[in-house]
Amino acid sequence: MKRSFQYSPAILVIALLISACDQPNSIELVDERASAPLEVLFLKENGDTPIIKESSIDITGLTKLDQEQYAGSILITSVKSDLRSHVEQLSYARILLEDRTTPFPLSGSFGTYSTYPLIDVGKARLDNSDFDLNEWILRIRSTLTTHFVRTGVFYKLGNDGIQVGKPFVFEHNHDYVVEAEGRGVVKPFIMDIRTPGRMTLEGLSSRTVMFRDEDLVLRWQGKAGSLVQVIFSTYNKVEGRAAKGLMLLKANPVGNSLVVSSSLLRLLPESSDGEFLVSVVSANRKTATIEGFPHKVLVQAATIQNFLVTLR
Amino acid sequence: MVQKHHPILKIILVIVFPALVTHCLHAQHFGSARGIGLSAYTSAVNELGALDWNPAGLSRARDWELSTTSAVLVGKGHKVKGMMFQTLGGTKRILENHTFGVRYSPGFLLDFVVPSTFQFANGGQSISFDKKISFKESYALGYGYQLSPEAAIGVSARYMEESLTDTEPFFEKDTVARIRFTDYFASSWNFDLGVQWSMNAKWHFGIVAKNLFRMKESEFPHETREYSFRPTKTIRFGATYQPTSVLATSLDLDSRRRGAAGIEINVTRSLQLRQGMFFGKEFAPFVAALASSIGWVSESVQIDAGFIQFLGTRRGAELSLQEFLTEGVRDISANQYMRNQLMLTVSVPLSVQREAMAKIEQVRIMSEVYPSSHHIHAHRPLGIARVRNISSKPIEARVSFFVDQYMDAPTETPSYVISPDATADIPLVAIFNDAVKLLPSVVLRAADVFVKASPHTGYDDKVQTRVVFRGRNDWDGDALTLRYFVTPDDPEVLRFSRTVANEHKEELATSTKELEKLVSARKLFDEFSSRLTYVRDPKQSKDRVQFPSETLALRGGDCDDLAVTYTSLLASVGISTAFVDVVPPGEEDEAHIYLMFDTGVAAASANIVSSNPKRYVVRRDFKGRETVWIPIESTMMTEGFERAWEIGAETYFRDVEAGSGLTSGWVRIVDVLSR
Repeated sequence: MKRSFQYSPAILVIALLISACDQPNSIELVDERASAPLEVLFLKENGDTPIIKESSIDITGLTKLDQEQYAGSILITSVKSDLRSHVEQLSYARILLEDRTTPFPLSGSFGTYSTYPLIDVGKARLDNSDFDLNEWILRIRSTLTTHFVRTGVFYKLGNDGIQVGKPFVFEHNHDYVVEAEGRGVVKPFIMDIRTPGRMTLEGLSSRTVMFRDEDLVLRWQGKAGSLVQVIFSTYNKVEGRAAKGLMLLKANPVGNSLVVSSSLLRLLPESSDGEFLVSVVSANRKTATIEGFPHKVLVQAATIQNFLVTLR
Repeated sequence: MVQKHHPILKIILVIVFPALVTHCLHAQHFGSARGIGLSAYTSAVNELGALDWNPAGLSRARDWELSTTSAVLVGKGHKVKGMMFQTLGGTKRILENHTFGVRYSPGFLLDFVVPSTFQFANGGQSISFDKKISFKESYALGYGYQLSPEAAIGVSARYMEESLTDTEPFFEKDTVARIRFTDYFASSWNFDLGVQWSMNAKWHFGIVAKNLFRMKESEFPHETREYSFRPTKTIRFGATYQPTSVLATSLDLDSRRRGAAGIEINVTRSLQLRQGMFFGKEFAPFVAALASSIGWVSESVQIDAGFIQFLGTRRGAELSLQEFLTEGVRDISANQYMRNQLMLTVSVPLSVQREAMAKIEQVRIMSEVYPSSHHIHAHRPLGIARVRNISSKPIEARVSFFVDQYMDAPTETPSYVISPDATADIPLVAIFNDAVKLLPSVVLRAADVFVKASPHTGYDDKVQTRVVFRGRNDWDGDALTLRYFVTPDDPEVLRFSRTVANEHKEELATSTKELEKLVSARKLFDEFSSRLTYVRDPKQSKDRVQFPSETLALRGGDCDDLAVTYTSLLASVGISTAFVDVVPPGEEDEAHIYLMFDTGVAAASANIVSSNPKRYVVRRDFKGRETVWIPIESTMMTEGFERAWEIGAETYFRDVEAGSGLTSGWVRIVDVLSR
């Protein structure tokens, strides 16, 4: 009995060590500047630019992936562009529904491809304003001649940078109601979307000079939409438009700041003048269905701010 | 220090410890459990934790002590996984004053991860790019030097390793995104310098300069310098006040306006309770943490369990990168990233010799041993041993005393409780055997003095001293010890007194009952004086006394011898006696001893003894009965009983009645046997 007691200290210490092999988790140091992680998409890996270049600048806030995913879209958009040489601001709304169940072929000089007809939804209104009805006409060039193909109609209000329609001024924090009386198989529908608040970016303008070895911190005043996208594109000075999308950063921020790591900035290709177009999209999105239309419809209210910045 | 510890246990520990620790890694730490509990440990540290708290404390650490600490993180948000191994180390003392400490501390580390602010969404697979930062203090060395019993200095060096792993995306052939890891390393030695000083048994002070020197082996590249370890030179002052052996309070303050305070209560010799707190202006709230610990110590192990609770709300698994980059990590052993934790420290002494808890600083033998009165040392101290508590805990010290040949076994004193660093003068007693009575003359003998401190067995310190034994006839001149020469039971004494009684039985039979003792005393005196010759002492009279049997055999002696022998004869027939010790003030050379005896005559009948009251003394016995005593001047032996009585009575009257010697204290009556 006494002998076993004598060895108890040794047994105790050994037991202590054996039982003490666990280890704590690392302490997480959270970057307080980043209210949410950014999801990165390198656009060059997707073949070509997914940014819809309907204008000299991005005016839709949609990527090509969005376009592929949603056959129908209802957009209410405010665009502000600071391109050093000029500042442009416009508001517009649009309804565009593609019937992807019935593609039809198009033959041109570079071969035959297919497109989808656009669907008429009848008379449509945004709050109390009637949409303009526009025809979507494709210009098809063949070896000898050029002909135009009418693919259908879409609905528009305001100035989309290509064409000026009925006046429309984007309102922040406003619940817009979109309704249409329907036509053909498409039944009448009504839906609403709330526009995001005014997002006043701090420290980002056309005079901004960014550095590849420093994080770019995006801070803003006001409440952003539930989805914020930051798109880096090359800029075609001659044409005054985004030339090629490079990198898309996407987040659902809970605060008023995001961090673009220097690791990402270093991945942007070198350019002779170091100029890039940065588009910051603040959007509220939801999907909807329209009776008689076989696809999901994206409903988006967004503000888009474009800046021509310098990256060194 | 003869107590041996289990050698097999040592072997097990020494072999198994390293084997185990190679499998056990990583924990957050906070030094030792005792240090946590007391919180203010700069002036009180006396164990391996001195490497962090104050290296001077190493000098007070135990010899060959192995110590290990583990911890459990407690609370929400910590993703606790269980007990974590922190440290293993030991202390070793060399040449009394030099103490070295070595510690392997795989658990002294801080790991951080900085989650990436972005992730790649590639084919539904998410790729993150986290940054990892690690600080590790795996080794520490220390040295403590005891300058004096009160002061010590020390230096410690702690080896810091830092690593930073960064993860970055890059494009291969400009199309395929890949991950690239970049590792940076840095290392350095950080030195502390400390002092401890005990002003007295109650007040102890300590001062330590943390990170006084830094020796960099390598460092991070400039662009990542903000992630590197940032030790701050800090001066910390500590004081401990120990009003009793049960209680100690401590306070620490440093140059960064931080502090700690604590209290330690020794509930028993083996059990300590501690309570402390950490505070500072830079903390929010001001009192940043509360700590408690309990300690239990036995001969073969010391166990301390401590708990620290942080009061701030920012503790958790997720902390701010911006704060980290601003503040950095300045101290691996105590920093803002510490979490609530329960700590357990186990210390095992490995030395084959038990660590002494007490030391004999001085032995003072206050008297010589006179064989005639040797037994008085069973209760009257022969000397004093000054014992110091050299441990950090209160001890119960017992002192043993032994002289070979003249003692059958060592004597041991009762326990004396001594506080840490305090001393106690412990009286030494001795029980000698009869061999001392055979000593013909003065001898010098070695005596061993041991001190034992509970709860350990074996002794803690031993010194040898010398004791003078006088010859059997030597006397120290004190009337109190002269009575030890009186031997009424000695056969020679009894034979003499019986012979006298037989020779004068008719005469004695005719005497009245009241005067029977007086007549017997007179006859004994007459016979004794008629057969003996008064001679001068060959040496100084007060230094040598013959035992009665010797005086009777030699038929002579000096006044002391005759007084002792006559006293023995009177005692052998049942007559109470006393010595009258006279030391005239200012005339010590005239010191003198004579005797008186009890006639047994009641004071009321004193006139039957003598009509002259100056011829006798009335004394009261313990029953309150007053009887008549007759002084006898022993130097008048040859002059006859009447003359000896006359001179004795005159001397007594002169010294006591006229000179007030009794009341003034220069006359003392020493009863030889109980009346």
